[in-house]
Amino acid sequence: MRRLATVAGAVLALLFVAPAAASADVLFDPADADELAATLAEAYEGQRVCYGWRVDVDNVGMRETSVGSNFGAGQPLDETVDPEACRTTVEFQATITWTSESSESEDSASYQVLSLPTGPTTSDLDSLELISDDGLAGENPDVDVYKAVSALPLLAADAGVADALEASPAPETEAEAANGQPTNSPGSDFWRRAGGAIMWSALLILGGGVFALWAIKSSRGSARRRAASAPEEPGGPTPEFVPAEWYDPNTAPQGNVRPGPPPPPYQPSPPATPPTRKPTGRRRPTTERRPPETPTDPSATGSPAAGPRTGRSPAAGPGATKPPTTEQPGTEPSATGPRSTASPAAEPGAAEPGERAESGAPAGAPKPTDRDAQAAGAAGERDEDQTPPGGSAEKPAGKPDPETRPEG
Amino acid sequence: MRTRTKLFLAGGLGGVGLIVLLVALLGGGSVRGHLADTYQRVSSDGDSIVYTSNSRPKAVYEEIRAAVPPADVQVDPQGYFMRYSDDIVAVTANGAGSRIYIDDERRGYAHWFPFVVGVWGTGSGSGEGIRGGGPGAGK
Repeated sequence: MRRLATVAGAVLALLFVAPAAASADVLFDPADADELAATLAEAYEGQRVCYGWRVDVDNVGMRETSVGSNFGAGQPLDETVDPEACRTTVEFQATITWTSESSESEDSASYQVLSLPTGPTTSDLDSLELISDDGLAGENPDVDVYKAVSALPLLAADAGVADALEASPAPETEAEAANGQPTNSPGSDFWRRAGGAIMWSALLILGGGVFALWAIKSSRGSARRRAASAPEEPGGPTPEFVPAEWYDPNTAPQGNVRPGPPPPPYQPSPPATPPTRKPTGRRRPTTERRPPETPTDPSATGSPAAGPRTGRSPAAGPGATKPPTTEQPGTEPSATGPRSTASPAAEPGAAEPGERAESGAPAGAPKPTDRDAQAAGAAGERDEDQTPPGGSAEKPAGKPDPETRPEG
Repeated sequence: MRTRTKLFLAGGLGGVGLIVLLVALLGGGSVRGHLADTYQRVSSDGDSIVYTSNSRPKAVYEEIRAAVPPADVQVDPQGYFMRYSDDIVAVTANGAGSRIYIDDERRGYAHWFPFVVGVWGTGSGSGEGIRGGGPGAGK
């Protein structure tokens, strides 16, 4: 009887004092589970706070649980023998779901920190950035659970429900005795700190360069396309101005009129000085200006080049008058005023329109001045009997009859 | 969009990239420099330096981790241990405040051998680290 009581007492003492040896655990190796329980037991001795863990694992439909506490691996907190020993408890709880290899669902996990009556919370554990849901569902959930459970005493001290535990450096001889050497060098701190930022900066700079190249190439391509598709003006380029001798206000198109044939090309090279007229001894009119005469062909409106050139040419302005009928040999026609040459039949010596350029008065010469108009008017008065070489003796409607023209 | 506008956008992208690059290269520093600038030095022995802080260990650990991210972290009920390329930093309680230890890799491993053995290096001891998962360790 006494022996039986002794054995029962020893068993009870082992249950209370020493952590129970771990049996097969779904999460931990038995030695790791025992080591974790021993760590919690040391914390309990210094803080008088009970710590534990419970991890429920759904292993492809088979439910298993990994539990432990400062009382031992496999000993849950809610089944402690002496509730008075745990006035404050802090437990790490997690749920892990493992799916089969052929399943489309991924492994999942979640966790929380439960403190009674008060103590650290799940957010306190999250602030340490030790574990995550993805880490628990990953390859090494036991490492994450070990770290989280080991941090519970630190969180309890920070929350004020327990005293903080202090650590002191061990003598170097201990490591030397155990032949301890650091391994697995972690790598450069610089690349770990700035590697991400350097990568992003390289992407931004490269993106800016590619965008700039694309902008330059697209601008060149659009410029080439605009040049190739530029429409031509109908009827050819429009000259800047029409020579004076081609313009006749009486026959100029009014309002919407059909376009006439293009004028001859303009040759903007006026002579330095207008050709001088040799004195002929004739009297020049001093005042009167005569209205411009109409072209010989009434149908050729706005198209002074429609027919052969006649002795009569349209004046450029109000001061223009009828061109003279005769021309003295050697006399140079005005370069700026209306043509003063007679018809080829009447005036053999007269210059042809096309030869006007040879005489120094090119077609499309600068606009006539008043002086030239007066000179042309004086020459026109002398050509009262001139008839157009076109053979038509018709006078343009509305034009004064030379016979009745007032004397100036 | 006009060509000039496109070129301005391209220049803006490149400018932002240059700014980010400069910040990455010039910003930040080593953990030793950060500890020297932030905490009060208590003692030193070669490359082993001890600092103190009035803040609790959790706050000090979070501040150091945010300023100079470590390569690895180990926790124990007695403190936080951070590993860098050339240094090991330990943060432990000191009354109401904290004490910060920084050592080179070799001395740091030796000083904190019971807490990091089997995880950051070799050696036989009470803390052998996590050996691996149990019977059912997922897919």
